[in-house]
Amino acid sequence: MIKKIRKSLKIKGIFSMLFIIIFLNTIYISYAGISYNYTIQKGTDCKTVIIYNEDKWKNVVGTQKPTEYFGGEADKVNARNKQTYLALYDSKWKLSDFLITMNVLGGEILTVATLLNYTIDDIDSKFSKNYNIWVIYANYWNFNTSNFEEKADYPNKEIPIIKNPDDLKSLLNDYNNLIELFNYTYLQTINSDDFLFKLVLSGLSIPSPINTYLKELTESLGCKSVKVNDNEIKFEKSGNENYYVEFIFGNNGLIDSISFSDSNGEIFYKIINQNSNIIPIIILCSIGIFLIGIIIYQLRKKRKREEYLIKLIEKK
Amino acid sequence: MRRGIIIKEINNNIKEFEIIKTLNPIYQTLIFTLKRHWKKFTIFAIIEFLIVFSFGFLLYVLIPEYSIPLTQQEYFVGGINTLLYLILIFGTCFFFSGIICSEFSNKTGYIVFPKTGKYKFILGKFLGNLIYIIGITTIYYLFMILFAYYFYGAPIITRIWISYGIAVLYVITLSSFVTFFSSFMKSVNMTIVITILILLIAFSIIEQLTVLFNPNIEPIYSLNYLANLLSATLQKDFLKNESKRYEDIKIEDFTYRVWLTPTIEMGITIMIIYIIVCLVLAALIFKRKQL
Repeated sequence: MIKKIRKSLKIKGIFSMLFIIIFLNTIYISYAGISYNYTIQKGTDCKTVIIYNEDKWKNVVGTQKPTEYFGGEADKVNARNKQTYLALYDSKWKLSDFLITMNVLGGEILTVATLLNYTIDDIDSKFSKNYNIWVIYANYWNFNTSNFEEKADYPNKEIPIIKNPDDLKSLLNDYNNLIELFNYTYLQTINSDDFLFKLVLSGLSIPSPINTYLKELTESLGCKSVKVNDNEIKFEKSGNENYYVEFIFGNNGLIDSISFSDSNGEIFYKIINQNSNIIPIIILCSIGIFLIGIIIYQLRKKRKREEYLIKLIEKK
Repeated sequence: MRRGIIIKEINNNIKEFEIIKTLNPIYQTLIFTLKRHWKKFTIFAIIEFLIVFSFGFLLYVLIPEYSIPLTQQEYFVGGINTLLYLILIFGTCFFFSGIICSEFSNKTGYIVFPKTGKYKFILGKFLGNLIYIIGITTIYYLFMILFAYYFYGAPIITRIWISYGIAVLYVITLSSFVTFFSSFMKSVNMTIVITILILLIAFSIIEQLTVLFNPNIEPIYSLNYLANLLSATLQKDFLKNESKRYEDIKIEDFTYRVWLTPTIEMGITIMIIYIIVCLVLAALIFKRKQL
């Protein structure tokens, strides 16, 4: 009798463990694309400026300030920005969508287009190729040194993940063709290195496996002064002096850290990601373990009671 | 001199003893109630957790297209409006429906009333159940805050604590309301069914009829309407009394007024009145009730 009860308890235990494992696994499902998968999860990322050597920046980069790259108060140490990822959709974008959404990429072009009386429909009719992407919708707070406002500076900002890295070559061609079409003095065509730099700076997200994607991306674009190492992509830039801008992507495909260093490797500007998503997970896991502990304790208590009763019956 | 001090000490001890003698049965009943209902509480807490976890976390994580609300405030309002109200009503009904009538229907009052005293026993039971129902409310809020922190990061809006305070007061109001019904109903099941029907259906019907006859009458008597305060306090300017309290909906020539929320002062006052009236009435009925 006791053996039977023990056996049934063991079976119950195994089944409940299996159930828990399957249940937890479903949380980490990532959705498969053609060859790459996105790994981003809803939640919030906080980035902080941890290093800013103003003199060095001026000497190496030049007159352009960090605020022109990253906005807000990005030229202050301890300034933080925040990005909350709300949802992700499958979508198709044309060149115009990239220009509208990514300010670093399309800001100037759209201003010139307005000056030359070109509408978005005009651009769409000439550059109608659709690019398969995933769009992340996010709330974005600019870099600042005070507390974050309740409402985001840019609600529902769109961040693209281009499914096929080969599409970037065609996107670059479209981009340069548009500039040539405008034939505007102050607007010059750009090379693949600058194009990729602008895209990454605009917040382009990378699908998984990140290192393969980055390699394929740089190869298809034919980048010359861009180095890829694991999840890192390093651009060689020139200002007053030559310098390097390094972007490290996190496991979720979003930028984890950005650093500017001179030719000697000295970092004079750095932004890092200070993710706090782990705390609730730790609390949840603790609660889960506590509950499992209570269940096991109750089961043991019940088993002991049964054993005691069985012994009593056997004695009688 | 020394004798006087000793007499004073004895008097103090007697006073202390009397206080302990009065409070001890209440405390013992409270502990007994907590021990008796802990399984009910655990099950409720687990169900509650599963509900918040599923609707406030898992759905968002598993379905990428299912967008999390734009702001923390919207996230909390969603959680409070859809689920909390129901959980509180069902929880209160299950915990408080048998508070008085079960002692009469099961005849257990014969054993316990003479030992502890009628009122002390009911007070101990009331407090014990109240601890559990406030616990259930707290768990709901804590999990909501935890998931909001996961999705939106710091800082969590401080207005959630005002909403929590109102929720606790609202729960005490609901508990008093159900206790009042339990004082004159004959069985636990009847109390549960009737209070749930009143809270979920009757109040809203009366509310709508009143607004139809005279749209200017604010339905402050309705516990349904008072529950709107829980989410309304999350609005940024609510405490400044700047937010809208009603909306007029025009359908051709007919205007229908929808009352959104009472002011915080009005809400708190009405809830306190409810608590006092219901508990006094329950005590009066309980006094006259024969075993």
